[in-house]
Amino acid sequence: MHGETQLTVDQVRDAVASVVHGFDVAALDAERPFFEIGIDSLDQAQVLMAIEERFGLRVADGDFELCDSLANVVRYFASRTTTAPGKATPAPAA
Amino acid sequence: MSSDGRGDRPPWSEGRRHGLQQIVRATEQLPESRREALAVIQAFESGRLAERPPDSAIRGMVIVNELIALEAIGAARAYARSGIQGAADVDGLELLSVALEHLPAASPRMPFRDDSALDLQLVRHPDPGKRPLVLVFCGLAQRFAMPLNLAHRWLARLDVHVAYLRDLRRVYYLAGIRSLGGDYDASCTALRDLARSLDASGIVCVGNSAGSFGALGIGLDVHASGVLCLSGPTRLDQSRGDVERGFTDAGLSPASIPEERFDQRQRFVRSTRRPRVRHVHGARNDVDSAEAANLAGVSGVELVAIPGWVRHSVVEALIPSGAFDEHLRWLVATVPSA
Repeated sequence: MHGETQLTVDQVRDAVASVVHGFDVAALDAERPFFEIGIDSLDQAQVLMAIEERFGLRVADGDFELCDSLANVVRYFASRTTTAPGKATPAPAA
Repeated sequence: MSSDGRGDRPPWSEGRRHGLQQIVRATEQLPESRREALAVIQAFESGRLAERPPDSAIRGMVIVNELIALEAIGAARAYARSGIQGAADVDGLELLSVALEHLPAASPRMPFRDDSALDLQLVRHPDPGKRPLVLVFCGLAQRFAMPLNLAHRWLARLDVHVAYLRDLRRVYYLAGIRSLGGDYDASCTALRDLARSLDASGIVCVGNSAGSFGALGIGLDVHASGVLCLSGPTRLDQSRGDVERGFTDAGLSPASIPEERFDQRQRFVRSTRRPRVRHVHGARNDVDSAEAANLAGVSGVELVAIPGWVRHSVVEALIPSGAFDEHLRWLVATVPSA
């Protein structure tokens, strides 16, 4: 399904804050690659899973590398939003 | 039949029922990954793990990490085997799978369970006598490539004391270790004092990614005999702004950082008492190769390029052949014998 949810950068920041501690998430540059700011692939997977859980969205395994910054996560879901199996209606954008 | 009308239930059953309800409620409030990890453990222990394959490599990686944090290593290994290995080229997933497949047995005499909130965790060798102290510098993600609970399996096999260090301010250790108080110099003094209090035969340092920068700098200043860098920076150019912001956020003055501390080459060239260094990196990783090249020609520095390797993380390339063990043994062997 396309375009059901417009995820915002702030919502991705919230997901980062929920799994990676010690960051001033408000100050994170949305365009910088995660690995440059200390978010490794395991953290990235946790962030994506948190988004999946909260918003009923889904990242395909092969698209993991596309979601390598706050802004790119937003772009990814804006361009290719799918609903996870068994998930409820996606939450509206903040 | 009891007189309170609750039938044949034993007197503690009501409390037990409430207790179970509380557990169920608490479980429902756990993050999905933790709930799934607990379900995987249950399935593993009852021989029904095959009925719960991960539905994606990304989610599988998170759940494997949860299992490792819960020290359910057998379940983590089986779950990783059950479907996520090779499912996707997701950085980090291969590392976890390789580490679990080649994981040394736990050392009951050197137990360790990571507390990710701590920036200094010491595992003291139980036997008397002099032995090296290994300072392990985590990267920006606060891991040593893999979760510390796994990394410790390799380090515990060495005849050493181990101190796991984190830079919770994420400034490449240029402000020292927060829990040691003071500044960079105070942390170096505290680490030397720690080695003395352990009657250590010497200090060696190993760092992963950004931790390599800390291992080089602090290693030089605590008079370590050896430093092992598993990829990572040797100078801070582009990351300098992050360091300065981190200092400011922590209420520290970026102007207090001596200029030479941003480039380990300068420091090593000028030092008359420098540790031996190995910088291990992927030959096809341009960034890490350039960072290694910054140390080229410095006496006592050995650059080890892994042929064909492109990833930043190198541990998964080293483990299967036993090279990870060999590099660690080289590091410990830099400490002069008593």
